Amino acid sequence: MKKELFGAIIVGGLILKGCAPAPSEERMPVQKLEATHLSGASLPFLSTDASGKVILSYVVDNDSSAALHFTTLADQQWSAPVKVAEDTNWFVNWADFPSVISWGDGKMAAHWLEKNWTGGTNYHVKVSRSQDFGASWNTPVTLHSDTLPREHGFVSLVPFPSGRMFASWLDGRKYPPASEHSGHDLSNEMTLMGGYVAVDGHVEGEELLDERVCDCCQTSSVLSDHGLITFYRDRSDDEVRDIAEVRWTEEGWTAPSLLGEDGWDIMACPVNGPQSDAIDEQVAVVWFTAADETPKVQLSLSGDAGEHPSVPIKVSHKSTVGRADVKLIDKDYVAVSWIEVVEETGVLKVAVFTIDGQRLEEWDITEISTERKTGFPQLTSDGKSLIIAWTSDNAVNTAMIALKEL
Amino acid sequence: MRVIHIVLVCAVFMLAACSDGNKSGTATSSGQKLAAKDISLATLKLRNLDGSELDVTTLAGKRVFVNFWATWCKPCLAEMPSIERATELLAAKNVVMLAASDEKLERISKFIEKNSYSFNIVATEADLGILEIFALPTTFIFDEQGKLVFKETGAREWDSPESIKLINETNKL
Repeated sequence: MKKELFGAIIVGGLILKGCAPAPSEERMPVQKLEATHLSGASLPFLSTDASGKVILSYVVDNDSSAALHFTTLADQQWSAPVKVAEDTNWFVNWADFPSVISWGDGKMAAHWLEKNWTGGTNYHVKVSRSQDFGASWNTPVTLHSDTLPREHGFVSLVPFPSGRMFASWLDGRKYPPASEHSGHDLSNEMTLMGGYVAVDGHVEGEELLDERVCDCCQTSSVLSDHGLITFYRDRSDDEVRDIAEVRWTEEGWTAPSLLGEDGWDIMACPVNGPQSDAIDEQVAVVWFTAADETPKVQLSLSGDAGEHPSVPIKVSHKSTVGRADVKLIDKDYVAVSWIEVVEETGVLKVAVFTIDGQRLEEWDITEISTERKTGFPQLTSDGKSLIIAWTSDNAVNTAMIALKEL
Repeated sequence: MRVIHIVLVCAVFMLAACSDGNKSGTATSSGQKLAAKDISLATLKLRNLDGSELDVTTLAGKRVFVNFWATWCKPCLAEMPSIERATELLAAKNVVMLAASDEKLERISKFIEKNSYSFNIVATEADLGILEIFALPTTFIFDEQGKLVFKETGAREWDSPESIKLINETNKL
């Protein structure tokens, strides 16, 4: 297993340390990755395929229409953009954004949100597949069987080696067909659904995973050695909105179980869902909570495919707005990104932890507004470096941190 | 050169992150201290829906209820009728009822076209994260001196006797 080394900054003889315990070795710098085609773009989504290639998808919204593009990273350069789809009826939202994933062998998949009705936040999830590295895309299909004007989104796509993929999403099918007024009744319940998309784009195996969840937080699904795991923000009968997981086992999906039990009791929308990653049996999940008015980003690690998640590790420091992401660099190290609030300024941070939860290193990537327009920063790794993407100054910005190999 | 510049900027951030600061606290509904800023009506950067700045000096000497909401937020929409009823119950009191969204003016105006409320719906250009608004709805109440005396995350029945008393009288919880 490859080992990585992280240490403190040494720049021109000036040694700087963060608040976290800092090792004394050299720390790698943050490198900005420039790309002109990312100007005017927003809603980045980062992923890494099985071959180690990093894919960045993003949306260009010019008010009259919106388009989903992707670009790939090679030799610290983003490739020319490839357009996946474009239309005039998309639901473009800072928190519920499209994605593009790749298998690394030419197969790709994308999702976006389509709004076919005026009034209210009613939209459907569209999915398309490509077999030729994104050169051409299938006619998009609707991910869910519910076809009425209700809310469906916050999708997480998981590629299977076979070419199939799993999707989890929030599904408002228990709501009455919506108008602006439908949201006035808190007895309505958002559901968590899962389903599969075949290589040819056929949707199958739709299943209810949780019948009552928080309305507007991202879902996050991963494939471990033991099967699928979906993380999401639960909504208890008492309006506690903590993070829960459901796992696929030989007996089917498990009943929901809570991670950490923060006890965030709010009849409100945090719009701050969990993110997760898995390699074999190793699983990492991060999330935001502000239980007791104390904001923090938490990390939980598991070596048995999520069956026994660790006691949460506090990732953030004094104040944070969350919007966290997580990526397992390998089975020994995990990276986390989040927005910390430092003296009334947002700072996009990245930290690396050992798999037993020891903080090794931490970087300040950039100042970033905590307003919604900056969306959800993204983090991935190709095993040799960390890649970060975020929205600011009317552009998708990207940066890389090379990881020093022992 | 660029890398060095970035790293030096990072250094400034990191040093700032390490300072403890000396922050004033604000009482919340749970009686805990916010690691908060000096939040005033001016810091909310409120705007009328015609785009003009809301002159907060016109609110001087009044208790001000500010409900942060969004058109997509179901709990926010659910509590709005109770804010309407509370507005009617407090009509004779020295209270101003506001509901502030950080969405685009066009979207807020479109919502108002379909939903008639008598309380003042306004826009905010404030950075809600910096205000430590972690979920919507969140409600602030300022006293007659313009001091933030109440903050609560989540929907409630604002026309209940308990809530009316809270809006009217809360000075520090």
